[in-house]
This record gives sequence, structure tokens and C-alpha cells, in this order.
Amino acid sequence: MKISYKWLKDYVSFDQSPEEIAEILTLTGLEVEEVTQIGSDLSGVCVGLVLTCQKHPNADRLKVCTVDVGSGTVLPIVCGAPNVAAGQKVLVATPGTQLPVSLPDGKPLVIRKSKIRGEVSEGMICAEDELGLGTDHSGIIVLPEDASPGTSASEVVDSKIDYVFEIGLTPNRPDASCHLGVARDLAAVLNKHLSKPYTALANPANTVDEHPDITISIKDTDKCHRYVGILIRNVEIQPSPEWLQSRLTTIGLRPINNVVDATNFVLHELGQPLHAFDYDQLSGREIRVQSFDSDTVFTTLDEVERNVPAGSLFICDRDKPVALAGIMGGLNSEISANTTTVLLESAYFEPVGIRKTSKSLGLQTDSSYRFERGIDPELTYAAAMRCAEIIADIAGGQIDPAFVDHHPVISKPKIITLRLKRLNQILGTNFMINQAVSVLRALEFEVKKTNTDEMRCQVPSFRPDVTQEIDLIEEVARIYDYNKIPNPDYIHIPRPEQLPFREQFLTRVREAARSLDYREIYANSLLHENVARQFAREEELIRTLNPISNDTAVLRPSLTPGLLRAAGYNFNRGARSIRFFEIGNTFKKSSTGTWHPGIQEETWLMMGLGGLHREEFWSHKQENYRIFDLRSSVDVLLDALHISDQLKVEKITETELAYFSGSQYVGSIQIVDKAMLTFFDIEQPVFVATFSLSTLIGMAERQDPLIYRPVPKFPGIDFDLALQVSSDTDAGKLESTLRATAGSRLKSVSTFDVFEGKSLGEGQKSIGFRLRFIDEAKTLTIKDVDSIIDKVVRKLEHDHGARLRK
Amino acid sequence: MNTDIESIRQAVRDFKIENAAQLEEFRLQFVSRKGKIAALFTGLGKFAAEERAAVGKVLNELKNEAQQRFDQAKLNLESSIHTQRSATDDITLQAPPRPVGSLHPLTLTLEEIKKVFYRLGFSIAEGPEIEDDFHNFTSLNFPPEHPARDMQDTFYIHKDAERIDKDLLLRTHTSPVQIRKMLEQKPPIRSIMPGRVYRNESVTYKSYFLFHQVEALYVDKNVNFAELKETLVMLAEMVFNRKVEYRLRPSFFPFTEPSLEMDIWWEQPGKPGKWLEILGAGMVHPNVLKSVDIDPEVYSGFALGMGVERMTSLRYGIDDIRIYYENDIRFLEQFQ
Repeated sequence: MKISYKWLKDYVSFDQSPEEIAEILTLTGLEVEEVTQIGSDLSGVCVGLVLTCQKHPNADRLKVCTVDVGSGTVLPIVCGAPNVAAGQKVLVATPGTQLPVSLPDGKPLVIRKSKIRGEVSEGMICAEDELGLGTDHSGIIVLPEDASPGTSASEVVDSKIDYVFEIGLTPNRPDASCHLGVARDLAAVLNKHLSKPYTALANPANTVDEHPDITISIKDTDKCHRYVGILIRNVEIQPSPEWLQSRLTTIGLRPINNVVDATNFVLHELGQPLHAFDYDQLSGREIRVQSFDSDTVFTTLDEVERNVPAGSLFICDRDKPVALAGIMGGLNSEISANTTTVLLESAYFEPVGIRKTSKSLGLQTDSSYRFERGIDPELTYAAAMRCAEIIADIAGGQIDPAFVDHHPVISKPKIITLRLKRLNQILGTNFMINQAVSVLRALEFEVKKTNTDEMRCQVPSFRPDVTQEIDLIEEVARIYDYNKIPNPDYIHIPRPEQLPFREQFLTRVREAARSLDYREIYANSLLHENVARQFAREEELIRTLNPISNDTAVLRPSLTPGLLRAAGYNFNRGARSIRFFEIGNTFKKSSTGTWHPGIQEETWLMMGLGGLHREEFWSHKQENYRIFDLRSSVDVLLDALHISDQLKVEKITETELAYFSGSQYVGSIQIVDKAMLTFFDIEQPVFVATFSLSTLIGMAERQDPLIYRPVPKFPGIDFDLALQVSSDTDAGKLESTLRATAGSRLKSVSTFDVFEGKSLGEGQKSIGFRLRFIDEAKTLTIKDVDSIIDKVVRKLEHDHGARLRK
Repeated sequence: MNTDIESIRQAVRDFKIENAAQLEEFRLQFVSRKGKIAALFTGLGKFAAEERAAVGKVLNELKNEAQQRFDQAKLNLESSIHTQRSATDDITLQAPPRPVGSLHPLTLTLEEIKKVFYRLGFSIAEGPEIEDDFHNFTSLNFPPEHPARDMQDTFYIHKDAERIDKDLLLRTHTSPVQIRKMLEQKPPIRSIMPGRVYRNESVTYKSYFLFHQVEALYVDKNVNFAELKETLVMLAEMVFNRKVEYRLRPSFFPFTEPSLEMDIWWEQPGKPGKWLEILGAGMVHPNVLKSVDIDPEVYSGFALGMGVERMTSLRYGIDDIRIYYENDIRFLEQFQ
């Protein structure tokens, strides 16, 4: 919202600079995001006396002058104005001056010494428009006789310079959506008087229910609480006077004509949106405020045909809608050059209805913006009359003394009590009651009753946001200035809670993954439907109803797409290797649900490897990552979290190993298949592990705390076992059997050799396991382990047809 | 015999050992069991018993001298191997690269913020990213159809035909976790709520449809605005690790009153200083406390919230929010 610095001075007097005012407004809650200077400060422009003025030898329309600009300096200046003459006092822009007009290329005009048609010119004698003082370009400005050469221009003319504040208005402050409202806050802080541009607030005597020339009725009184109509006759539609145009252009509005400009002016002055109808275009001399049960096609005055949803409020004449209430007028009744009688509308429309229509049409206007936040229901008449008087003044019309003011819903004034103790308790201050009283009075709260402990006050009708005591406390604090509230010497800290186990666990997971040399990524949790479908069944996908685009329409059912997208992104930019992890939430529909019924939102860990394990280097050959690299990371991580004992691993498919705790699936490691890689535009191999942290946390939480075990006192003994099995036997199965059979002395199993070859025969392979045995009570000898080996070999032979190789 | 010993001793001392072959020759001649010194020992039997001890002693000294000469020469030869090293013995050769782990910059910032709050006695709480309207809006004093809802453009998951507070949506802030925390625990409550949030906004260098927040909530008897101020100042100074110049501006959030935003004065070399917003905060609105059955006449509280991306961008001078989610290694590796 744009607020003019100079315009504010119409309602409150102050000397502060624009920057100071911006700071004051910001600290009262009207955040000034930007201050822009409008017009020129006229520096470099001074009074000059035209000494001589002769015709230019080479150009009929130009004149060559000599101008005294004070301190004995006389400049030769070529001038094209028809009215220039010797003896005039004029305004001269001296070389180096930047004028507030643009050249055709958009750059500002800067005055330089030059030759014009062969004659030297060292400045410019200026017309009104060239100095941003007005629109007149018919000739140069001629100053009164008493102006003295050399005086700076800003001392002899009003420079018209202004500053515009861009205010980021919060939705709770509809009262401040106009100059008077902003001035009210400013006056309260500066402790100055606020001059209002109107006097009549009370219901006037001239209101008529039945007007001979216009019948006004409100059908939907729940949507329109008040409607004022005033007729202004014999207006002459013209461009607005200079002062009005200047006000509007300063805040970025385009002047249209005197009547429309007057309504816009009052909107930005008082915050009351107004609409002017061409009375002669209204059929039946009638206005009805009503909504329809069906959609309505309506062309607004921006010449857009709109399909307005049922229930939206319209202003209609006898036959048809003529305005979309509170949002925009209709093309069929707008003020035109031929308008002679104006019906001026000033109304209070209910905020929710306006907001619904505005949102569904995607049409927000200065008017709807204010109505949907809640305007002052008591200002309806005063604003209408203020506008009517301006129209009468600048368009030469007569205001019909009889007017309509229907007011079916009268809002009751709110009375709120402020307890001093509560005020000081919430703020941590030591205010006295009179300090609160004076702040609230300055903001036009009507103080009804007060004693040393509390006050009762009536909330002004323009403050719909103030409904309870805490709102009054905020008013006092913000006008006082938050920054002036003293900071306490110390703060209270109640006994801290234990950090949740989940938080501690997640921190350990993240640290473990990082220390295993994985890089953390943050992937997008909204996916394209075609991507999401690769990772969950159609009926499991959760969609947003209003996605920005198809690319971000579905919530991620898995962290794997995030890995693959990041992998593809980096491989396509020259990376040769990726090693990523992510901790994040996934989303699927389910019959049960986690936080909300039917929605399974869970935290997962993803670890992924892809591309090269090692680049070609002098010490080793180039080598791709293999799934075993990922598995070792995963196993170390699970070990570091002290939960690997509870897990068992099973091959689910030829490319996927799953981890189970009992029968519960907790995660898996897999080789990403070629088709999927192609889908993500990846040529390198990629391996991914995903684990449900929600499940792992549960396991870890049930785990006994870590207790120290004495280190073995006796050395262990290694035994190498080479087994010959058929090629389709899984090594993992042999290992499981081996571990299950060997008893408690077996401390570790290491697969030291795998080979297949002609010597073994067709369809056979050999796997070498190195077993390490340790006894806590004695040094083991080969004899001690022989019996164990025998048992293991017999079991392996029985279960897997394995034969011991000599 | 003695002359033999002396001449051998001299030979041991004079023997040139400059390469492995000479070393081997030396070993064969003097150190080996079949060498000259060993031969002298075999001759020891010829001596009378009373002489044997003295000669034996001299012989042993010789044997030790030869052994020492050999050991020393061998060591010298081995350590002077650089004069004939192989190409891969060059210790200035580049060491092979190895992968490096790193945490995402957003995690780094979040961890810093957590540390500060832990020092101030806060715990931590989490909640779901898919929320219902009750937790995300209604209980936080966002009335249905209020323009305040426009401040947070929302992705909806499910629109309930009957009750707006049963709509499902992607949470637009982490404040619903405050509601969950207050529903499950009576005051005192002193906790932070970090997490991912979503806004239906188009993607530009300064906005993205998801980002991360940390909020903090303190509810107890007699919690006041002055204490909130002091907490904010401590927080800012600990996060930025310096004294900060700050200002508090009144602002508006439906769930706090009075509400504020905090700016800190930010100077960068070669640029004019400016106020930069770092967080929003306020006293918990009585309507919010009522919605979770906490009596606002007995308890009061403050809440504050900040954007993790924003804080990270300030810390590291990052000017494009999109880079956080691209996961470009060339970006990530700067934070290892």
C-alpha cells in the first residue's frame, strides 16, 4: 500500500523527515518496506534575470539569451519558449542539473553545456513540466519581480517533491489502509492533533427512505449492512484539477476523470470504497443489492466478461446487475464523458462474502481489499458526503439534499475492560493507568470509566481487529514502542525436560552416516505423479488438491526418488560418483495411519551410492561401486546404533536384501534396476538402502543400555573352511547355517575366498570362510575346535549339500 | 693367532660396503658361520685352558665388531634406498582421493539453533507434515475465511465436506506442533519445534514451495513480553556469535498478541548497512491457550519462529533458495 508523505500532512502536522516518519511508522506496526522520492528537489535550479534576449541567427523559433544567475555569473542560454523576454525573472537549470523528466531513451534529462545550432548554451530556462511542478508546457515560468537572481528555486516555488511509503499492511489493520488511518497512528506516537477532513459522523437528518428519483433496496441484508446513495446533478465530466491528479499519481493511480478520481481520492483518504454510477444508465431509477442462486455472467468495467459464482453480491438496477458489489463496477453503468447525473454509492459489505467472490474470481481491487478486511461501518455517510462535496466542487454539480441511507444491520459498539495488573503482567512493565488511557484516547478509543486499577473503553468502529483485553495491551505496547520496554536482568528457566529419545537417535543416525562419508541431501518431498508411481501403488499415493504444477503434485512415498534425482542431476553435471544420505518423511495412504487416520507418514533413512567407487589413479584401477560397498556401510551404521543384533537379513529378490526384526520389515538394500535408472536419465550403477527410522527408533528404545564387557583374556584361533557347493546356493544361507550351528565360541565369520572353475566341475563353486573362535576361559587349541567344525560341516552338508574341500 | 685376529679386525674395518653385493660378501667373509671369524673360534680348542678365556674374549669382541659393522652397513644401505627407489616409492606422489561425508547447510544451521535453545533450557518436539486444519489454523486463531489465511497459501490434501477444521493440508508452519505439545503436556512447556513446512508459492530465487522453520514455545505462569525480548536478544547474539543491533517491530500473527518481528542491523563490506528481518514472535494469544484448555488467566507464554533457509542464507551469503534442494555436490562439498 502506498502512502504519500505530503498527503499525511493534511491530517497531522510534523517536521520529521521522510526517513524519520518511515521509522516511526515501522515501529508502530506499519512496516515501511520502501521510501521512494517523487519529483525533483530542484537542486541546481536557481532564479535568473534575463539580461538580453535576441533571435537565434540560425533558427526561427529559438532565442539566444544572456541570464544573470547571481554572484556576477552570466550564462548564455538558448531558449525555445515563445514567452521569454529580457527583464524577466525566470528559473534556470544550470549545467549538471538532473531534471525530473525522461528523455525518449528513458534516461533522465541532465543539463550540459552545449552548442545549439551553433550558439553556445550553458543552461536551460524551465517550464513548469520540466521541473515536475505541473503539466504546463506552453511557456517558461515567469517569476514575480522581487525574486533575486541566484536564489535557489526551492525557496521561491513549491518543489512538489514528495515521498511515497510502501507499507506492508498486516491483515489486522484495515483502519490503516488509508492516509487518515496512517496519520492517526502517527499522531498518537507524536502526540499531535489529528485533523479529520469531515465532521458529520452521526446519521444526518436529511435521509429519506423513499427518494422520488431513486429507489434503493437491500435484499441480502446479511451481506450488505449499510447502503448510502447520493445524487449529484449537472456534473461536467472533465480531467481532474492538478492537485487531485497529483495526489493520485503520487500513489501510483492513473487519473481517469473528475468523478472517478474523487471516489479514488476518498478511498485512499478515508478507506471507504465508493462507486459512482451514471444515473441515466440505471433502468427504472432503481438500485437493488442482491445475490443470485445461480452463476451470473457479468462484464466488469475493465471490459472482462466474468462468470460470477452463485451467492455473490451484486448491485442491480431494475433489469440487470450494474456492479459486482464491493469489487468492481459494471461496464454498463460506468461514468462516461456524457454523464450528467451521478449516483454515488457508499456501502458496508460483509467481509466474508466479498472475500469469497474476490478469491473465486481471482480479482482483488483496492475496494475488495478493504471490504474483506472490514471497513468502518460508521463512516459510510461521512465518506459519501466528503466525496460528493469534492465532486460538486470540481465537476460543478449540485448535491441532492435528500439522500438514502439504509442501515439494516447496525453493529453494536464493543466495550472492553483493561486491567492494569494484566497489562503489566503480560508486558513485564510498570505502566500507570493514565499512560494506557492516553494512548488509547489518542487512537480514538472512548474511555468510559477509569480508576487506578482498570479502565473501560469503547472500541472505535474502524477497529474490527480489537475484540478483547489482549488487543488493548498490544495497542498500548506498540504506541509506547516495543523497544522501550526494559529487558529483565535475568530470565526464568523451568527444569529442562529430557531430550526425546527420537531426537537423540536421529542425531546419532545423521552423525553415523556422515562419518561413513555420506553427504546429506535435502530432496523435494513433492513429486510428479509419474515419478511417484514408480515407488508406490496408485492407491497409496497422496496428492495435493491444488498443486502449483504437475511436477509437484504428489507427496513422496519413498526417499529413493530424491536420491535418483540428485544422482541424475550430478552425473549430468560431470560428477563421477555420488554417496548421499537423507533423513526425511514419506507419505502413503494406509488403512491405519500414523498421525492422521488413513495417512502413513513415517521418517526414513536413505543411503545411496552410485557411479565410481574409485577413479582411475596411479595406485589402483578405476572401479564402480558395488552393492557390497553399500551393505558394509549399512551394517556399520546399524552396529553403531547397537541394533544389528536384533536384525536378520533375507534375500527378497536377486537384487534386494531386506532386513527384518522378527517378522517386521525395517528396511532394505537394493540394486536400482536399469529401467528405473533410464527413467531418471542415469547411465551409472546406483544402489540404495532405505530404512524406516520410525521402526528402528522403536527397536533402539527397547534395547538395554550399553554395558561394558571385559575384553577377552585369551587369544583366539582361526580356522579356514573351504566349502564346495552348487552354484545356485546363496552364500548368505551357508553363513547363516554356519553361525547358527557353531555355538557361542564363534566370534566372527569372514568370507575370504569365492571362486568357480573347471577344477570344481560344472555348476559348482567354492566359498572360503575364515572362522574365529574365542573362549573366555582358556586358550583354544585346534583340538577344541575340531568337534565344532565337524558339526558345522555335517550340518552344511545336510542342509546345503556342501562338501569340505581339502 | 693374535696376528690373525688383528689382520681380520683390520680387514673388517677396511672392507668397503657400498652396495648389496659387497654387504653379502662381507657377511660371507666375517659374519657367516662359515666365515673367517667363525673359523677362528674352531681354533680356540688348541689353546691352553688358561689362555682360552682371554683369547675367547678378544674373539668375541671381534665377532661383535663384525656383526655391528654388518648391521650398521645394512641399515645404511636400506635407508639410502632412495637413491635407487622405484617410481611408486615417491612419497610426494598424490595420495588417492577418498569420499568425504558432509551435513547439509540447513542441518548445520538447525544444529546451531538447537544448541542455543538447549542452553536456554528448551527441549524439542516434532509433528507431522500433513496436518489437519484444526492444528494448523483453527486452534491457532485463524478464523475460517479470514484474510490472515491468505498470508499462508496452503496446499490441501483433503477438503472435508462437513467441517473445515477436518480439512487435511500440508502444514504451512510448525506452529501446529505447539498445539500438539500443549494438548499432551501441561505447563511449564519450554520446547522448540523444527520441521519442514509448505506454502503454495511459485518457485523463484527467494521463494520455494517448501522450506524449514524452527519455532520455540514457552508457557508457564508469569511469562511476559520483556522476557521474550531478552530471550530474542540472547538468541540472536548466540546464533550470530556477536553483539547485535536490533529493533522490534509490531506485526501480526493470528496466534500471538502482541506480535512482533525482529530486525537486526546487517553490514556487509562495500554495501550500505540495512535492517534485516530474522524472526517473528509474540505472546501466545489467549484464544490459542483456550483452544488447548490452558487457562490464559493463569498461564501466559511466548512463541517465536524463524526460517532455517533464511538464517542459513544470512550465515553463508547464499542468495538463491533453490540451491538448497538441488543437492549439487559442488554446493554441498563447501560445507564439509
